[in-house]
Formats: sequence, structure tokens, C-alpha cells
Amino acid sequence: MSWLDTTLLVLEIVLGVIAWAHVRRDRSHWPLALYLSWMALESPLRDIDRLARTGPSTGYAGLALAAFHLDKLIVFSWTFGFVALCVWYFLRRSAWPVFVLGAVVWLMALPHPFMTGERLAHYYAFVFTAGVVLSWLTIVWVVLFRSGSVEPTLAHWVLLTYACLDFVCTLAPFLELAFLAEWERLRVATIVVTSGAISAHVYWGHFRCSEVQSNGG
Amino acid sequence: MTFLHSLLLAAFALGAATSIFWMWRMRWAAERRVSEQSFLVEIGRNADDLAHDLSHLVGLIQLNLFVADVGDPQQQREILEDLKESSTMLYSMFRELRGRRVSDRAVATPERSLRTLAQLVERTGVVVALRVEASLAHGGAPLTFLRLIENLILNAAREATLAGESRVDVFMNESRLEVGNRLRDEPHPREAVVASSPGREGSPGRGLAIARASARAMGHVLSHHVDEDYLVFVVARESSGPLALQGRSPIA
Repeated sequence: MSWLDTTLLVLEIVLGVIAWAHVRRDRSHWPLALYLSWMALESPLRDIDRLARTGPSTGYAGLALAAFHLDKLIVFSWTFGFVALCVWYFLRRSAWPVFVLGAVVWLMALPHPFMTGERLAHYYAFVFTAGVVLSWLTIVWVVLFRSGSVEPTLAHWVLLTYACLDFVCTLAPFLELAFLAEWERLRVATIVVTSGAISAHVYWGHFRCSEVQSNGG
Repeated sequence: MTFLHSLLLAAFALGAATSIFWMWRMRWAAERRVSEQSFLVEIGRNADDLAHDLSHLVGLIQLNLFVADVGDPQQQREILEDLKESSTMLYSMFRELRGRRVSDRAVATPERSLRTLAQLVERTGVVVALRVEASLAHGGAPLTFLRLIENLILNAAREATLAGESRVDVFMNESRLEVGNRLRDEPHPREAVVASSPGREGSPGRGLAIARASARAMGHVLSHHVDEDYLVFVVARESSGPLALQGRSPIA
């Protein structure tokens, strides 16, 4: 594991812990805290998952194939978990249809060895782009047309930040931003954004505490 | 250079998200302020309406006390009984509004409220011809019903007195309440007598606006019918149907 990976993992764990601490102040924060904890957990989980797989993906069978399918589920959970959070926090709607859609998309990725190699990579890219479009549709709808219906909270800011990062990543191939194709480099941006989310949690917690104290006094 | 690109990308994400969030929060705060102000205006209007109704009711009680001053002992006892009855009911209505328990003895049924109010109004020199078949069924609070009949009967009494015929006809059964009175002769604009206007203090408009709102709160509709020089206000679930007071001569 490179130092960038280690740094990102540590920051994600810290963010997860701080997010759960914030749940004590704001109960509505728990879905985001759960998602952030899952984000911290998925990297080591994928590393363990990879141990069960060796050789080209077209030749997987038995346990290796099951681990391969599990890996796909983890990858899709990033996108559908994020869209579900946008639906929950911005639209104030139940997120179960998003999870049903995610399950359908995962089932469509199961045919083996059809869904391997470049075809699977394209499928991932398509699902990621669709997820970015869906999440931005919910954000734009609420921010522009229903701005008074939902109180903007810390969870919304964190989601907006990751949505902005995802948006640029989606546009990158079209803007010929070749550096974004390098995951190693992109991780630096993720580290900075994760640090920003940690700072926002600390600042928001302090700000809210001061607000309560001034009201109470 | 690539690290610099990544840092710029992260800065863009943080800056863009913060800008959108800040813009949204400002709009949210502005909309919340507007909503709170409308709420405060509504509270102010309700308080003003309640003050209007209470001042009329207190005025009515005061008139009754003045009458008691000059009345014989028998009349004084009757007035005292009526005032005890009305104050007990009024107190129970406010207790109920505040979610407090009210004893069965103090519960103000529509019939009880109507009879008590009619007696209080009668001592001001206006004849209230009351015909009660049953209590009006409604989904509102007793205080809402009291505010409705108070405004309808006092407006009717005022108009009837101005018309030279101090008599108000009242009919009530399970489904409807009717209040009738004679109208002034032309050229007095008759539309003014039945026009609701929340801003017209000292005119029937304000009381009628309150009566209309009270009827709505009870799940009913307030409508009016004019037959030559006789006006009837009807409180019922539907505005149609034959009038019980139709054809009654307002002349005693």
C-alpha cells in the first residue's frame, strides 16, 4: 500500500469517526456517517477480496468468481449509495428505489465471462456517469426550485463537495484532462477533499455548539 | 505538475460546493424569514380578530350590568344568572383551547351558547326571536361557534335597529343556522351590509369576515339571501336548500 493509499485510508477512518460523533448532535446525519464509514471500509475489503482472485478475469470460477461479483457490488455501492444519499437529503424521499435500481444494475453485470475486461470498464464508466447525472439532477432541482423546502446542513455540503469532484472526473475525458486518468494523481484531490470534509465537520460542530450556547444563555 | 493539477481540482470542488451551498443557504434563510413573517402577520390578525370579538362580548356584558343597576330584584337575579352562565362557558372555552380539562357542566353546546347570547342581546333592546330544533353539528371548537353567532347576531341587531325594526330572527337545527333581519330602505348600499372586509373597523365587514372564517373552521359555509328588505345569513355545509326563515315577516 502506497503512502497516498495509507493517508487516504487514515483520513477516511477519521472522517467516519467524526461523522458518527456528529450524529450525536444531529440524528439526521447517520446515513452520511454510514456511507463515509463504508467508504473507509471498502478499500481494505477490496484488498482482501483481491486475494481470492488470480489470473485473467475471464478464467474466474468458484470462489474467485464469487469474489469478482462481490467486487462489482462494492464498486456499484459507491455510485448508488451516493445517489441514494442525494435523494434522501435533497429530495427528502425514501431511497429504496435507488437501491433496487442498484441491485438490477449489479445483476446485469453478473453474466460471466461476458462482463469482463474492457466491456466491464465501459459499464462501470456508464453507471458512474449516470450516477453523477442523477445526483446533480436532484441537487439542481432542490437548490434552484425548492430552496426553501430543505434546511441546508453539513451533510448537504459534504455531498455537494463530492458531487463537484465527481462532476469534474466525469468531464475529464471530454476535456482531455489526461492527468485525471491517473488514479494515483486523483487520490491527491480525494485526500484534500476528505481533509476538507473533516475540517467542515469540526467547524460545523463548533459553530452549532456556540449557537446553542448563545441561545441557551 | 500533476500534483498541482490535483490540488487545483480539489480546490475547485471545495470552492464550487461551498459557493453552491452558501447561495442555497442564503435563499433558504430568506424564504424562511418570509414564511416566519407571514406567520407573525397571521398571528397578529388572529389576535386582532379575537380582540374585536372579546370587546363586543365585554360590551354586551357591561350593558347587561347597567340594565341590572336599574332593574327590579327579579330582573337582577336573572341577569346575574345569565352572566354567570356566559362567563362559565367563556372560561371553559378558553380552557379547552389551551388543552385543559373542562367539566361536563361547563361545556358550551351550540344551543346553550345561542340561548345565553340571545338573552344578553335582548336586554339591549333588540328582540331575538329564537327557534331552536337542535344544536348545529360542526367540527369546530365551542369558541369558534360563539364567535360566529356573536358576529352574526350583533351585526343583525345593528342593521335591524338602523332599519327601525329591532328584531332578529334566529333558526337552528342540526344542519343549519339562519340569522335574519330587516334591511334599511334604499338608497343605503345593501352590498355593504353583506360585504366582508377584515380592515373595516366599526362596520359589519370585519365581523362578517370573522364569521365567514369561523364558519369555514367549523366545516361550514356562510352564505346570504336577500328577499326585498329582509336579509338572511345561512351557515350550512352547503349553501343551497330552502330557507327556514323565508317568508317570515320581520314586522312584529
